[in-house]
Amino acid sequence: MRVAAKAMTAALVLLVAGAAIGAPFVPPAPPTQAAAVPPTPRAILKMALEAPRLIDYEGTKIITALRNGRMETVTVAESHKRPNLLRLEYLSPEDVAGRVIVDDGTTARHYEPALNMLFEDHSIQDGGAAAGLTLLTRNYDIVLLGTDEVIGRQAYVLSLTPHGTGVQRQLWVDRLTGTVLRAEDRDASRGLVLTTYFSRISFSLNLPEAYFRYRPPAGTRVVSLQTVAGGTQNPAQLQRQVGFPVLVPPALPEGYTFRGGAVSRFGSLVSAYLRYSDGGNIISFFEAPAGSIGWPTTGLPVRVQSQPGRFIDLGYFRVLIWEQRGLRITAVGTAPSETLMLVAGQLIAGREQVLVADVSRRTEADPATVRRLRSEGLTFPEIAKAFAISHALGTGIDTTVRFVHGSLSVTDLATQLKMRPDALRAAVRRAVDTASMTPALPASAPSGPPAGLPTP
Amino acid sequence: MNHHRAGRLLSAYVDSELTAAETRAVQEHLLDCAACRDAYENLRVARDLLAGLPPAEPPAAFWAAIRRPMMRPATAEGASGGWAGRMRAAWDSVVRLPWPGIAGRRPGLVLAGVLVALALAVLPLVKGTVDRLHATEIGVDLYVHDHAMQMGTAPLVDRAYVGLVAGDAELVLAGETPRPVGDIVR
Amino acid sequence: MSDVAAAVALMAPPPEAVKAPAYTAEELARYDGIVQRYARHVYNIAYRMTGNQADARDLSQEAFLRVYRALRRVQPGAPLESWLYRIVSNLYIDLLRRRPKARVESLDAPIDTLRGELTREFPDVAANPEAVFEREHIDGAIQQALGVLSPDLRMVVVLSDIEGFAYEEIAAMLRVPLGTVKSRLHRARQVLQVRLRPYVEARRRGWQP
Repeated sequence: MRVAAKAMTAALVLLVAGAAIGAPFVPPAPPTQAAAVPPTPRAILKMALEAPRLIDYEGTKIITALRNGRMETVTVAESHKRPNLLRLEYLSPEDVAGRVIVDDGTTARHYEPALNMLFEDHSIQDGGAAAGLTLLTRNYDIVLLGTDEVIGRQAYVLSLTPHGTGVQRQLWVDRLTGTVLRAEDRDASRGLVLTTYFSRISFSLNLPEAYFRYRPPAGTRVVSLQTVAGGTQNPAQLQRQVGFPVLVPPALPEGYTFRGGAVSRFGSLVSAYLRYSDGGNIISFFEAPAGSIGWPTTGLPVRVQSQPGRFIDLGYFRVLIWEQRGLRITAVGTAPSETLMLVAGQLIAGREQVLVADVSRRTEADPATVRRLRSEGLTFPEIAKAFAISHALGTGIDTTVRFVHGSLSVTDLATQLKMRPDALRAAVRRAVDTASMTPALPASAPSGPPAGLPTP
Repeated sequence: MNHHRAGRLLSAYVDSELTAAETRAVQEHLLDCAACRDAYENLRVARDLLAGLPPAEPPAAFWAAIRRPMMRPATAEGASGGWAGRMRAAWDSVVRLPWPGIAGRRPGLVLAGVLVALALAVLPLVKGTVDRLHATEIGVDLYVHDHAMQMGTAPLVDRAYVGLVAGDAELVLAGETPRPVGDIVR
Repeated sequence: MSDVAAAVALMAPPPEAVKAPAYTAEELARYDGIVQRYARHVYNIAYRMTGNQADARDLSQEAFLRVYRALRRVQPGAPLESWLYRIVSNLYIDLLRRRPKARVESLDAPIDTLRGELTREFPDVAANPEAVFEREHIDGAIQQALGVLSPDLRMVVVLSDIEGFAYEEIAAMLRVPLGTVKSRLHRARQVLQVRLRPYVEARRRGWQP
């Protein structure tokens, strides 16, 4: 990887040092100007998120992903037309060749030629990319490593490293268009788990819209698989909808926060779905009545708090399954197995009332409020953090929760409180550090730093 | 509610098929009447026994037969009485295979020899409807599918990879054979 | 075509000369979907009604033959339970009528007349008490107990307790009033409880299969 010229290095060092949460936003240098000072990492990130709205492209992408213990290579022809038309045609290996996915931003249509089946599902493109940026910049170190050349084009190399447990990502962002030309995902325990890169790409401005419509041949079986819709409900609302208890994880790794829930329906199988995200990575929880879904035959039998469970390593994803109180709970995510086990252990220990009392006492909060926040999906460390900040800053608990959630950025809250963002940041850090944060963990879990699970 | 009437309503009570008022009345009666409590328990347990019956497994030939039902031939009307006899006649006239030793056997067995590879595990969905028994056969793939779809909400996740994972999961959910594991590249 | 008219058309005995309709791939796929959705249930109901594999298969095949012939009159995606299970029920009654000797004893008498037989123990269980704990044994006992019921009673038990339908659904399927479903189920259960008493008692004492 070629590092930029000496003059830029000095600037880079300065930028790296200052590439913390909420560094002042500098608009990206317009493509026609030769930038003497490279944009901030955050600016490059924004550029990458904006790119799909601004350009069309068509290229051949190579994906290498960890799957069932092996790296699998898949070739796909990817085309995109602004703002949100996507066409994916898989070319190899043989068993996926011919698969076509056409996505118009609302619906994804997936056609399998060998089976003459067409699956209709929700779009696989994210609706509002900007929504996650606050959390992402808060929970990840975003560093500009320099520039590199990819398929003859100049690209910024961005590194996103999670503070807690998650996926470490490296992105090669095209200088001219902001398109991600190459990406590498690394997992703490296994190293490289996913690489994607374009072996060729061309940016044209006039891909015909017809190219993004797919008409299956006559006699195709059409299958509607829209299992999970939306995702903005909290656990209390979900519980009312599904009619069985919805359990909220007591604690999760640092940075993960509840981002929404939904009901997942597949035929007669109804599950409650809770999504926790740190801005760049997701851990999902699916809860259904025990007995409504079978135990998979693959994977490793494990014991979670002396209850039987099953652990399945699918490569990029890991799955942990267990049962408690008549519920089947499935956790899916890219996280170390120990983390999933710890989270599951917390849930199974079932010390909800004890923890509510404990946190209420420590933070001098009203137990009813603590319980309400729990029913909205917050973990105990988040609740404790929210109360500590609320006490320190004098903000209402709901505003503080929105801030902790990432729905309210440092800049916005600072403006509301008429503080400078760095002053606010310092005050928050002080409040979180000085308050005694650790809710009582089960004896079997190792004690760790406050407000989160220990990073294995 | 008198004892006699409660006794007559117990069966519907076990199925939760009474009105709210009737349910309350029966419940109150149960509090006082040991005999009815006993009867209720027996009803409940007996129903559980029936509910616990595993579904009867059809023989392999069955699937072959109903997949493409043979139409009645224009000529032969089964002389042996009954529709079962007619069916047998229909099979016999259509299936002409020179296998020795199976004359007189049920025609379904003949077909079984021919169509061995019929996959019993295929569970296609038509217009989004799913046989309600089959939900218990879906393992982890549904949740992997949902999780992959939700990955799209995190910024900068590769769409082509999401399409690969979600697409694979959709195949399994529809009852098709999953893709084999990929080759080792490094 | 109305549900009634369609049902009537299908229940009539098939004409002598019927040519196989030329179905398109899409129609065949639709039929396949119907098969996959309902075949297991149809077979299960047929098996519990007839008590043996051979008859269950014949009955199911005949039911699906009717579906196959009437495919174009079936609305895509429409729930077919009522129609299909009604066919099964009527085919079964048809089967009984055509058999020279009834394979199963119909017992649709008031409970008093049964009292004479209530005290009769199953010989197997008396000789081998442990048998009451064996899965195959209890399945056989249940099937035998079902066989004691008249077809009307048996059908409601099968639809309610084995297939899990609600009373209203069963009433719609069998085209009988809700009260009839209730009373048939009540009578059927009285008989079944008597026949399955050793198993019910063992279960109440804590045995789980």
